[in-house]
Amino acid sequence: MLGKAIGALIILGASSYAGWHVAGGYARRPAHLRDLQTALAVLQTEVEYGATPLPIALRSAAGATGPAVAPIFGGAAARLGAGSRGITPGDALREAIAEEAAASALRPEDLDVLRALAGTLGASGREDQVRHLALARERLTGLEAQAQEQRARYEKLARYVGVLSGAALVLILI
Amino acid sequence: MIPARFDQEILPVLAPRVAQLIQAALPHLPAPLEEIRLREDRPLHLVHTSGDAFIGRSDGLTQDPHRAAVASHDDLLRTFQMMAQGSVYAWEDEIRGGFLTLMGGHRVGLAGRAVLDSGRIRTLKQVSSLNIRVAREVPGCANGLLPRLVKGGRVVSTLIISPPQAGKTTLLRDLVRQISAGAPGAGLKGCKVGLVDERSEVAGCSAGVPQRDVGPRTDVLDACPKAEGMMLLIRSLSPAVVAVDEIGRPADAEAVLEALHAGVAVLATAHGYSVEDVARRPALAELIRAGAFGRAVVLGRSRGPGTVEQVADLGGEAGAAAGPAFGPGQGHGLGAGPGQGPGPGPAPVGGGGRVAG
Repeated sequence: MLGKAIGALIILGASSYAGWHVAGGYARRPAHLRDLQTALAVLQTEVEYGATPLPIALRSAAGATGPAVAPIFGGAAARLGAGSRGITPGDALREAIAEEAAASALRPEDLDVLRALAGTLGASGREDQVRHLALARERLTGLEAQAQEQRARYEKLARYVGVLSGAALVLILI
Repeated sequence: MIPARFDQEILPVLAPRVAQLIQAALPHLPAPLEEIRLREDRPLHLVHTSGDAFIGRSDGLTQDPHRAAVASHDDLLRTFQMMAQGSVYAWEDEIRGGFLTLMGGHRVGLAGRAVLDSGRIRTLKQVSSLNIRVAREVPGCANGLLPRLVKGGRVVSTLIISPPQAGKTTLLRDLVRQISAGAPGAGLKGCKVGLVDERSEVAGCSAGVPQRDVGPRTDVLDACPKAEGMMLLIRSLSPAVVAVDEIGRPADAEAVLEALHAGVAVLATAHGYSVEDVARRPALAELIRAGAFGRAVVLGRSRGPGTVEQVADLGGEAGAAAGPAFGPGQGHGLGAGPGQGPGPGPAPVGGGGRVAG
């Protein structure tokens, strides 16, 4: 009996945790999308008003944004820094996304916006750069609205599904 | 013949594939390297002091463009981006002027598609040609010349006239260094020099600090327009000599006159083949007429880059005879490398130079 009770608790705990985890993803994604927009806004200011070279501009973007997104920009800056040979800003940003983005709640479609930006980052004049950065921010704003909506709809649902599916499994197994 | 600091200053900004090809080809060069030319979908081209060659697909150099390695679109794109430190937008003014300057003062000429804004170039896009001009430091190349530019312990205002690639920037750099440090042999005490380095070629500044030796008493105004820069130096840095590369516009002429009225000697360079040549350009003609320059030094390549073809007196005194190329016993000019043999002696062209008319 005790074994059964312990088994039931483990199942319930695991499924609840899974539900909470999925719900957490829904909850964190809008915040991370906002952080991404903040970083791009800083980058745009650095490019537009300071004409700051990218390694420095990317570092300031990393410094101004949240800890989940900062490593993407910091990583790109580090890859572009001294000793890097043959690496363009686009390569640096793409590599940093591949390595650092997994820790965030960003989805592939969010990262696609950054990857599209990587293709032109640093490769053209100021006006053109500002236009690309503004476009990326606009797309992220759209994605953020979508993420908010999904959060309202699925965050609680995911938690309930987690707990209830655990409870159902326990009932079936008993 | 690998130029000094090539590994630190030029190789890191080349696309890795191109860097490898050039590195493999350089030891085969018969003379010092002057230019590396990258053109999209065309052969990799090297220019040296005694000719040019393409980089072969396998090892070494070739004269046959069909057997040469070709620079791809990606090579050009990567190289251009790395030259701009990944930030093309940060160098808009330079790109509009058709050049970028690398660490160490190497100038890169650009060509591509011009984007116009009411008839004027706004920027260049799709850069399809890059010409890396390797800057060379030849300390002492002005040794032979300097005594003739000094009168009564003071520097005489001098115009250095030279066609492209004949060493005027190299000569100007060494003149600045020696005037700044003092040259007892020429009867000159070190004096304050103000250098306006619009294209960052003379002093090769990085973050405003000269990377080339321009002497202990030299203040460098980096990346500053010439006319404005000269005025700024005179107003606030009290130089005894102002040095400036490639003058020619009316505003430059005005600034030179202003400097002379302030009692400051001017060392300037201008493109041209002879004094007569330069005197046909309105702004420079006016300067020469006004007696702004005491001397004109004409450089050429008759015995390698940096050959002094003529030293002309513009101050109404008897014309100075043409003298030896840079520095007695120094060989003949900047291009003199081992194996080319020393060649002191009178320069073959010119003589007592005087401006006609």
